[in-house]
Amino acid sequence: MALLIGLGLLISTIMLFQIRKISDSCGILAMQAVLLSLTACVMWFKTGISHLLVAAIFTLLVKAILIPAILYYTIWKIDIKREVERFTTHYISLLIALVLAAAGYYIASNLNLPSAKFGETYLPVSVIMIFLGTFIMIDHKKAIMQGVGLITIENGIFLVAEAIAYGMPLVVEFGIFFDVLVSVIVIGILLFRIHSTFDSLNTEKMQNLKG
Amino acid sequence: MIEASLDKVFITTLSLFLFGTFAAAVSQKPRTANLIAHTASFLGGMTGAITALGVLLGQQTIFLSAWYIIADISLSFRIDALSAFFLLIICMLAVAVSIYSIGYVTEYYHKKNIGLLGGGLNLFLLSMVLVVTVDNGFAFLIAWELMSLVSFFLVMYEHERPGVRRAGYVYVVMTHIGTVFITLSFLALFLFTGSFSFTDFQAMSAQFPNWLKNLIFIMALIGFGTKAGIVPLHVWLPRAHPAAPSHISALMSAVMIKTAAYGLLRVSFDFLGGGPVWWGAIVLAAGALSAFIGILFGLAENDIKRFLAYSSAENMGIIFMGIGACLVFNASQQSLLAALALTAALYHILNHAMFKGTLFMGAGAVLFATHTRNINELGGLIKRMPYTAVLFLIGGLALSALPPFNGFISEWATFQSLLHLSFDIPNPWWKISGGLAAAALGITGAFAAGGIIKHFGTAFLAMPRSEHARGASEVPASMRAGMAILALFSLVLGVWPGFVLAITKNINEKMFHTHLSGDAIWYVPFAGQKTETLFPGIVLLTLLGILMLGALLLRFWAGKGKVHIDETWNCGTSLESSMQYTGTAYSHPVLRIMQRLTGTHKKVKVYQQYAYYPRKIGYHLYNDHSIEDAAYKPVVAFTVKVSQVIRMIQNGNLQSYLAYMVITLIMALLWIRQV
Repeated sequence: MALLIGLGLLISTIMLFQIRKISDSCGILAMQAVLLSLTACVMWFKTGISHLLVAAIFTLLVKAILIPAILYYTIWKIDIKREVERFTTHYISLLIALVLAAAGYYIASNLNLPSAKFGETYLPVSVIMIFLGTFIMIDHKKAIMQGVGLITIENGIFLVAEAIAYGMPLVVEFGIFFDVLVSVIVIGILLFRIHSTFDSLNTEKMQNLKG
Repeated sequence: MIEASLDKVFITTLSLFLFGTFAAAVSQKPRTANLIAHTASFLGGMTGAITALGVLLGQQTIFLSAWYIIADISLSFRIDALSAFFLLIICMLAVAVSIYSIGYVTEYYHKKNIGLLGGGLNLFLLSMVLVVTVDNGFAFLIAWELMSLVSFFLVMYEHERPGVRRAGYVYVVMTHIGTVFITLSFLALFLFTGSFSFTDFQAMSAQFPNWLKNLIFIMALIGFGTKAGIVPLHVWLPRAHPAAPSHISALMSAVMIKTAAYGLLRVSFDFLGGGPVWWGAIVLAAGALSAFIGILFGLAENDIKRFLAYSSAENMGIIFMGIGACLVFNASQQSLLAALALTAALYHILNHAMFKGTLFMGAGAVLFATHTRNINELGGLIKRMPYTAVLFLIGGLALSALPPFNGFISEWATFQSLLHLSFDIPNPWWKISGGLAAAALGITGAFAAGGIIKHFGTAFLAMPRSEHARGASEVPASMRAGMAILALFSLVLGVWPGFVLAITKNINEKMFHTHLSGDAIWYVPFAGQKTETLFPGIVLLTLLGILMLGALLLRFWAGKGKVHIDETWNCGTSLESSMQYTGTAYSHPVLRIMQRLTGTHKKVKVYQQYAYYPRKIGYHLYNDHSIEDAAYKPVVAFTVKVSQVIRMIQNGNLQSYLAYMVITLIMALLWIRQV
């Protein structure tokens, strides 16, 4: 089960490199969040720590429904040039993503963290998600994809917290959900502003701001 | 019992400086701030001097432990003879400068914040006291940095003038380059001893491998050499000293740069126990170069304070020559001669503090009265400021190493050390080098005397050249008193060298297990190591007696002379100040001879369309300091180029910043991954 979920998470992250229109990323993020909430459920089932269940439900609500909706709304509203723009070509970025995935496995295979009894499978996956999320932010030119990368990183951190530490205290967990939600909203608003100022979402244009 | 009370006296010193810092900084009225700050520094200086004398004459060591900075690193003080010697100099200068400043800072009333200046003075003194007394490498570095920063802020006191800002910038850059090297050498000591405590350094460095000792010494030499203003690391000296308020420049020149000599002595002798002969050769060569180039550039200056600053580089060069000779003697097991060379260096450190303090305060008095430092705008001040003139002249005579003032004794002792290099070390290279070093010291002394004649003659004698000089009047009594104290010491130390031999005895005992007898400073190398006794006080009295007798005889023989006062004959025209020889003209011949080094060149401009009937001819003289340019331009250009390359990583691109972060993260994870 853990293997399947881990595989699903990995595939969904890699799929983020295969998209042709940026709006496709919303669906993938939603799928990723569903898998995450499934992980939390599994961990609850294995350990019996009840607030993991609460975390699972919140993941489903916030990350699987609310955040993709906000992102999709933003993309739909701005409505220009929906195709993906990258610094590298499609295949090269896929190749780098695979190299990063291998590196993540290599690093996480021997970290010897305590209490990794149930979560061993997830640790490399989460490290890979953090790497790939950062790589999405690096590779894409459209400012909205930086938001997508950020959420992927955040998902990876969430995964490591659920799998290794059996969740954070509930208050912290709520705080993080709220944080992510607010940051996505801020990203949405900022994207409107950036679009109206530069008439584009290309982050290269923002280099002109450097003094 | 005496030791216990000396502890308390020293604590009083520290507390007084600390009190002065904060009490002055918070007081609003300039008069109150002036009084509080300078009373505190005066009393602090007095108590500190008592502590230092107690240690030096009482043959004891004060040890104090204050508190732990962090685990294992304590702020502790140990005042042994070497520390006490420098503490004595700092405190003597603190006393004189405090008295002087009471008058000097009135210049800044209602223009600048007096509280900050007075508080800064106290903090500066405190930091210097800390530098020479702390017993821990870490605390030493903190104190050193504090000293550098406080002096930087004091240099920048008149920051509204762009020249001052530029000078402060050069100073802070240079001093930090020096600090980097000092930090490296202390860290190397720490790495191999596992402790920052000075006692551990002393105990364990004997087992260091040779390459490590060499490395530590070279880094300490570069670091302390920068603070000492050794050529070619001197560029900050002639910029920072004129920019600072005069009493601060007096302290910086007389005391602060001496802490570099303290650091070098501490590291090379106390920690590393002296080294191979080539250490001494390097220090000696650097000192000789510094002495010669320093005073040559000084001679070119028409700005009194810049001249004095260059002369500080020269005198630090002389001190380094003494230290270098000492290292050489120590390496060749001539402990008595090593003691002689060290005494010469320490003596010159003390003397330079006295006369350079007097001179900088004298320059400050001229600045106070005339608001200009350019001697070509001065003249005739001896009639308007007679006390300042006499005190400046005393300082100048001491600087030119003329008897009966103190500069003579210490330079003579340095000469003897250098000549002993020739006569008592069998290696033929030293026979040449010792002689060359002595010759360098000789020409340095000649140039120094020339510089003093130029500056004293142009600024104080003849007729005023501008309104600045015409309207000058004598400075307040406190300023004269401050100068007079140091001038008096210049005379006393010049006729009574036994006092310095007494206070340096313990230092020599500790380092070389030997000491100079009361008249050993009168050794003449040609006579081998036999004692030739001569007491300068008696010589002075005899000379004075002969002079008096001569005057009496002349009076008796020739009767009362007739004094006829009249105008100077000037071919029928009236005397103009523009007829006078200027300072520029005075030093011109020497600069022409040395133009390869100074980069002196002239430009003549005729202001009229008919070249044969000029209305006015402009004659401009430029000193480019070509060797400074040659040394610094490539370094600066290289640094700028490298910085531009490094700057490329900061390209403003969000994605590249993220890439740096993720690469760092991956590296860190790979590093902690357990195999």
